[in-house]
Amino acid sequence: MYRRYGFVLAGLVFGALAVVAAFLYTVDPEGTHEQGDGGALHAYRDVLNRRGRAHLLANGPWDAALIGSSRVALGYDTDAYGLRGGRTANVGLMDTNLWELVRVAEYALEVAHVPLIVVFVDLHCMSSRRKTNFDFERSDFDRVDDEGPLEHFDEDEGELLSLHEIERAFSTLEAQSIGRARVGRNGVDRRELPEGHRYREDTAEHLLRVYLANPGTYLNFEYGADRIDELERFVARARAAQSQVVLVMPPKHALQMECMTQIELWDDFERLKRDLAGVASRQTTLVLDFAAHHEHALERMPRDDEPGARMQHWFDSSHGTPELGRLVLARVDAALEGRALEAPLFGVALNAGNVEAHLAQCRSARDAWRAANRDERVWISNVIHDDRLLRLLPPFARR
Amino acid sequence: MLFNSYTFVLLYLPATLLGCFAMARWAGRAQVVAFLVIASLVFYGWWNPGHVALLGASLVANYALGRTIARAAPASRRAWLSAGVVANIALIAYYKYAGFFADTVNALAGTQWSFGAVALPLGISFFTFQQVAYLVDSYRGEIHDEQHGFLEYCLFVTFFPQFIAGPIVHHAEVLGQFRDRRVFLPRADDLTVGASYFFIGLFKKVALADPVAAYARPTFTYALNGGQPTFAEAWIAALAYSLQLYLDFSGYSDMAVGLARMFGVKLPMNFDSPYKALDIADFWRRWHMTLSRFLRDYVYIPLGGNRRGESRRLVNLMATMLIGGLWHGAGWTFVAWGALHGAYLVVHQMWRRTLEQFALPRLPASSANALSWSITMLAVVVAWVFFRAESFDAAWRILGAMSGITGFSLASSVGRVEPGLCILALGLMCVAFPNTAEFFAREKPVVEFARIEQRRPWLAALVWRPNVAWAVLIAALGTYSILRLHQASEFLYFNF
Repeated sequence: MYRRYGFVLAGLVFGALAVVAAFLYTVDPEGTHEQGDGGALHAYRDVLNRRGRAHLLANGPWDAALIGSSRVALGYDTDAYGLRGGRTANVGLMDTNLWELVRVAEYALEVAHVPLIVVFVDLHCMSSRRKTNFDFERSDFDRVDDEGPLEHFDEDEGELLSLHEIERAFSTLEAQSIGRARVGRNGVDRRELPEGHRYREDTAEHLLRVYLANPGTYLNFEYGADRIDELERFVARARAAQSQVVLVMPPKHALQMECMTQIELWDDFERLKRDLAGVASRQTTLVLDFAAHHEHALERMPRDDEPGARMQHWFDSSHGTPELGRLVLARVDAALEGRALEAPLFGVALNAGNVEAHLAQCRSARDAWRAANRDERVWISNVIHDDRLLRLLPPFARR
Repeated sequence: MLFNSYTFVLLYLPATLLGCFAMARWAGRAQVVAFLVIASLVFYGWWNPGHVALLGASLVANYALGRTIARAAPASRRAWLSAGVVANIALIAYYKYAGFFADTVNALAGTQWSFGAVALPLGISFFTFQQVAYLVDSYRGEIHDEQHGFLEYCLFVTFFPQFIAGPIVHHAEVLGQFRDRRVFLPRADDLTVGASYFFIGLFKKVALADPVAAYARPTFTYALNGGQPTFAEAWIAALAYSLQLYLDFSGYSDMAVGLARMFGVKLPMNFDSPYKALDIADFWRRWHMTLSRFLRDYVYIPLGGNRRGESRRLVNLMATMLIGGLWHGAGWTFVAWGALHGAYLVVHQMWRRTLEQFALPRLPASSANALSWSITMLAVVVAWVFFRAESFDAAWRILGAMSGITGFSLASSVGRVEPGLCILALGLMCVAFPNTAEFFAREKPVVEFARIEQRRPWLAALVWRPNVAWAVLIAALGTYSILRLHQASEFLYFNF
């Protein structure tokens, strides 16, 4: 009796797990297994995690790679616009930091042999408090493999025996059935805002609160100067390997920059630009600054009582749309060809000689916006001092 | 290594079972015990291999002390026992309470003392208590040299199912089993009962306790940051945490009992539906039963128990619960939790005495039970707020909101309907359903089974049987739980 029960129990459990594992291996929603090209499903996989990104980058050849945070993943449709007209990989990583971006850039240089590498440097990625996402160690980007085989086992089984992965597998199949992939062929995260989307409450407010409450972004921000040193060493290595590196400070909406001003991060913001300008001069590499009050940064964000209104260039105060991304990439191409700036403050090439004048110009543009937008300043102030922030603050960060 | 990890479920456990059964088949009993000790040390060293050396030193020292105490002349036995108890307490004091002590002194004297960053060895509270009990029993003459050797002693302390978070095993319960010829052999009944028990525990942890935590965490964090929760938020958080803690810890205990049973070993029962308790003394007979037993036998009774008059008894009760509170964590909120339970027990004793002395009018049994249960649960939930809150300010904010002195707002940032239904369903399950040991009553799953057996008549229809229906149900729970392991979190009691 017990024996029969045992066989039924073990048979059902292991049978069900085997079916799930076989299903996930076949659909391979993240494109992370080594079974070769998955044929019909390939185009519909959700390769937004680091394992998938590493496989995407390794499966070149690529003419260029964009390496950065979620701003890159969402905002640069490299299927529609490739740098220098070539095949460009979008390697935007959620929840990343500059240390990790340098590792990914090294991977692009040394494993994928990408000739043009564009690294997008955000201020919050500079925080020395910002931890590296656990997903990094699971991916091929982590080339210092200090894990034992059993740790790999836990991770690999997590890929094959997980409810979460089953959900992703079904969305891969659903994407195939409607013929529309969520992730573009070259890696762009095709996000669409829903009907009736409220920019302020649904995204900007929420995002700012998350930034303000997160020790990895704005909370108790600590500028990680050593991360710039690492970035510079990478640029030097890339030069030696005949690869070109472009460093980009991506655009931010005026509301995001107002938040940074009010919580006194502007000095760190300028420090980052100075440091990158120093790298540009020492390594003779191209550094472009889009993080200023140019015309696209000033686009008005609709109020929540205007549900039909759409922003052309922004998903929220920090993430730009592919339309803005196309303008950025066009400016990168132009700068690579040595062409002059076409729109004020939009992609200024920084170096040690012009950085102070540029910063003064940025401050002036900021002050002009602040003077003309008192209501927006008050709105940001209310977000910063909102009681709801307390719900998000980690226990050690009490007011 | 966590019980709720792929490595444990799919690799470590099958490998250890196979190794144990192979040794039992082709080698001697000593080799089986040695194999299980090594396997248990691997399990423990997974988190921090450096702590294995500390554990090894503790095992050697306590075993040697136990033997010395058992053989020493009556005049010197007490001195050896004192030395052993002090050494164990010093160890746990350094690793667990040094920082708490320094913080308290610094707060009072304005000094800047520090013991540096000390990594707390996992399970230190559990294996220290287990070994202190062993020393005391050696002193009492309840342990004899011929009963066991060093390896069996090591297995008694380190046996991986119970090592990290209990149940706190008494040597008399397992040392004898380790010598039983039927133990450590592959038996279909042990394997099936053990695996089924384990899957139920895993389900309680990953499918019930972890999700309900999401209703408690935001409000406790909010209160800690200085926010004032609403009436609804505070009640949802307090009730959700009460359920989370029970399901988490009793889930772990079920897994421990099930794992041990796969090897043929029975562990003591740790939870007996505590939220069915009708008074606070009953609650402590049902909640973390092996800790209650330890505190009774090795703290309360040595302090004098109820042998020195009623006043002294109440003082002893309070002292025992304060120590119990401090055992759970190095913080004043844990002391407050222990003090509250001490006060509850004192009030309960005085109330019982009053009822006995004066012929007060009694309510009908059903009304009296409902009233008693409500008061007991209210007291328990209030005390859990101190247990969970990381500061007194946070605890007071939540209790203030629960009491309604800050208003009766039903606004809730974690929602109302979903958490309400979830809490209601889980609460009903805890109060109206049999517990795991009752489901498995037919199999005598735990040591000291008499209490469960008495309830068998009304349980007959629900009791587990090795049939296809139960196999399908348990397989569903087990498969679902394994598929949720990627979201695994540590057990709450690993912190204690």
